[in-house]
Order: sequence, then structure tokens, then C-alpha cells
Amino acid sequence: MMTKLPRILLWLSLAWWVGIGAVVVDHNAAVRGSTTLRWKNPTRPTPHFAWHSRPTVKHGLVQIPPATQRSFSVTLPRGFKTGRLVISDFTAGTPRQARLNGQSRRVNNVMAEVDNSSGVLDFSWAQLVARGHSFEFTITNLNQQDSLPIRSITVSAQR
Amino acid sequence: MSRLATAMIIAVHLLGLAAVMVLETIRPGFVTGAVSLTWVWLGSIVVMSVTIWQLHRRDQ
Repeated sequence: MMTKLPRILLWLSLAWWVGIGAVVVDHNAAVRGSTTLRWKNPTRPTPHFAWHSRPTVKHGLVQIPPATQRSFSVTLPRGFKTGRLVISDFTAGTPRQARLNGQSRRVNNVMAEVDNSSGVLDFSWAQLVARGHSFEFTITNLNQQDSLPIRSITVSAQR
Repeated sequence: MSRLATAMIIAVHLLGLAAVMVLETIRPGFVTGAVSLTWVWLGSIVVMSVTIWQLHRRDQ
């Protein structure tokens, strides 16, 4: 009969290898296909997302003032090259225009039928400025009167 | 600490380490892309060392 300590050590050993196996399988599944990084609260930096300068925060949301731009960066897992950036706009229905690194797309249009409060910007990471595994992107609010509120930023990246 | 328990614990770790090295040989980066081999080895060596020390203490 095994006493307490050997039993603990045996379970610890099994848990150790099961844990390593789970991490390895999860990692390889993620890097094989695609991955989604979600910045639910852009008012705070995360390990994957950051801003270059502290943004304006109003009503708990990051606001890009009229006719100004803000730079953000996303850090991707190694090997990801193309992706899609989704910016969730707080104000539904208000026509807003954002510019991503010179590529102008109208926010609130692309996803309008599904979700009137979201905007989608497709891009290639090659267009972004790479520093290590971090990629910079700049969002410009082209509106001259209203701020552009950003509820969340989502990046789904493919290898 | 019984000899059976010691053998089982060491067997688990040796099998695990062997699997890691085989996987790494067949598909380089499969394991090392996710975890550091240093930590994998270190964890196993610590548990095996504690196990052997306990067996040794019982025998004395």
C-alpha cells in the first residue's frame, strides 16, 4: 500500500506531464491555424496590446479626438503574418471614418448588417511596422466634429 | 517510500522525458515552441531527486 507522500509525488508527476502535454498541444493547435487576440478594454494595456501615448478616456471608452490619430501596437505569436483588425465602435449608426495606416475604410459599414456597432479593417501585417513580434497600427479619426470611441479591438491573425 | 512507488514515479518521468526528446527529434520546435526544455528537465529532476531521497531515508 502506498503511503501519503509517494501517492502525492506520483500524482504530481502525472499532473506535471499532463500539464506539459496540454500546453504543447494547445500551443501547436494555435500556431497551426489562426488565433484571435481580443482587447476588451483598450483603456488598459495588455501583454498583447498597447498604445504609444495614454489615450483620452471618456465614459470608460478610449476616444480618438476629431481629426487626430492614435498609434497602437499588437504583439502576435511567432509566425503570424496576415490578419484582420476589428474595431468596435460605441456609437451605433453614426457614420464615422477611420484610417488604418493610410488605408481608409468607413467604420460602421462593413459589419453593419450583422452588428451596427462594429467596423472591420482588413490588412496585411506586411503593411505594418514590425518591431520584433510587435506590429504598430495607427487609427485616424477623419471626422472633424466628433470623437471616435473605441469599445474594443480584436485581431484575428493567420499564419 | 516503497520501491514500487519510487519505480513508478521515476518511470513516469523517464517516459515523459523520452517522449519529449523523440517528439523534438521528429518535429523540431513542437515542444520547445511551447515550453522551455530547461524547465521540463528541471521539474522532473527535482521530483525524481525528492523521490530517491525519500527511498534512501526509509532504507536507513
